[in-house]
Amino acid sequence: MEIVNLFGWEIKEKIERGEISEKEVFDAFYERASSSSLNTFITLAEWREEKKEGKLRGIPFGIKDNILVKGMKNTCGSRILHDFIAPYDATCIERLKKEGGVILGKTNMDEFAMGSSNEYSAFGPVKNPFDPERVPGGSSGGSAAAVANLEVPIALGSDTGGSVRQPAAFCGVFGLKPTYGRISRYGLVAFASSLDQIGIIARTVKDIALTLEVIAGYDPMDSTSSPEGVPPYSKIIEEPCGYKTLGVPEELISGCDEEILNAFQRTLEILQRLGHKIVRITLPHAKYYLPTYEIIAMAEASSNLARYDGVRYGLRVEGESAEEIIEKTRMRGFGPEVKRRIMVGTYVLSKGYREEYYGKAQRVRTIIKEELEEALREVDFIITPTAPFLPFKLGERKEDPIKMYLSDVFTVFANLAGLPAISIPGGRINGLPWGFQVTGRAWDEENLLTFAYHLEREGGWSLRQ
Amino acid sequence: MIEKLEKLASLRLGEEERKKLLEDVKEILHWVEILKEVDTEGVLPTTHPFLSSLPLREDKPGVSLPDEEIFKNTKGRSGRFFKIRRPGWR
Repeated sequence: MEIVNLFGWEIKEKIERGEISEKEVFDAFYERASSSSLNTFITLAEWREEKKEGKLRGIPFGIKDNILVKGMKNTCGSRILHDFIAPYDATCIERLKKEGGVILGKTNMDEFAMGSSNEYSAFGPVKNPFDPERVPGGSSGGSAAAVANLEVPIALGSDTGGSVRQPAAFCGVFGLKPTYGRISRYGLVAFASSLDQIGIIARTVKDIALTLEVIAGYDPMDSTSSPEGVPPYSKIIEEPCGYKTLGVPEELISGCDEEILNAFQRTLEILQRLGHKIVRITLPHAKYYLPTYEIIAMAEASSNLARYDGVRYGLRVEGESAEEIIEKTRMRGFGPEVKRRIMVGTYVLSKGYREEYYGKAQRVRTIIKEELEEALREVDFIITPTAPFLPFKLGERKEDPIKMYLSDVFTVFANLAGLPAISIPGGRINGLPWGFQVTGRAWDEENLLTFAYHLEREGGWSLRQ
Repeated sequence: MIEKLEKLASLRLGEEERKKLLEDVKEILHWVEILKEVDTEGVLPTTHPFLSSLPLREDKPGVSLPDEEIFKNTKGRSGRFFKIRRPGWR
């Protein structure tokens, strides 16, 4: 088997047995990534000779270009940070390196993680590996496409409203968004701080489990990271899974494209045949999930992106006064989607409207969170398709923001309530990948990953090529 | 409305851009109006999913990056300071 076909954990074992070297592994993936026509990477790293033992020994990682890797460019897919060099490692990167993980490069993304198609990157769109005329999803589209195209075995992304899971589904790979606070956000460039979470994309659940157990856990540099213990996920997942009860929220998924709905129905039948129980659940506030998410995400984004002023780092456009420098820098530095979100975010936080929009959304968020927690007391997991439609054509939704936002209709609730969720590749429809999403209880990645691992093995959803 | 937002967000727009953006902003604001239907009387806001369970760290200064590292990405610098034009354009 060729090196690029190996899973991350297999690479580590082969290196430990002396069958292949770290350098051979790096070169194989580097060759594949540098000759890719999908525009997956913004920057590729150079090989550095430093052999390290550890749980991730020699495994190359693709890192979304909003997670800082010391000494490498960190553009966030934006002109405003086109030449920004990261002065330190994000906590997750520090932990990856400590366990022998190797950085292969920084992956392309929608500007500041705002988008669901990767078309909003200042460095050009990423193409879907299954059809280059279609989008890979977003905003971690570079990470998902790189993993699917065997350019890297594992990649990190960030997920604010589905940005790891939706591209994973569009590219036919696994994508996990852990519980909010599970992985430190120190060194992740902020988009919407109460929703952002680093996630993991891979071709097998075992690689996700292995990566999570290395990078998760409390970090004094992120006051929202949790002191919850981190179990050895990669071992635990191999234990028996038992039979689970899965809740299908019918009012949420009713607007889905028919081809996805049919494939989802067949998936539920397979799950039943495997002995799991499928029940209907009611989520009365489902139609409010997306608008609630958008208000909160845009408000927090407008506040977080106020730091890009041309004064301390990033692009600087000169002018006659301080104000002119700041305004011109932001005008030239930000793309249309980022400007759109900053404007709406500024509006919903402005005097006279704050309570009407932002305050209201935060209160509805409480209701949504309680509704989901209540549902998860009745069932083990909530199951839905990951996205309501198949990967769409480049340009199809780019000019219509609301049409683009609908990509996240099934994914935002996990961020609003802070819950862990994984997108599992469901196979192909007309040659294009689709995925289904399993959402679990807060801090229970253990059961979620175990379930996904057993489905991968028994349900026929393995990606072994 | 849009001029006021431009000022608040320190973001100047071109003429064409302003027209398109105004339409988009109005459409998005109209789309989220639906939240007004939800009865939130007496409901507390959620600012972070699990804020109440998080410990505070000790209020002690830590080690910061050296100046030279910080200034590596800076375009205008004067000694230990960031350099910018004086305010007063408006």
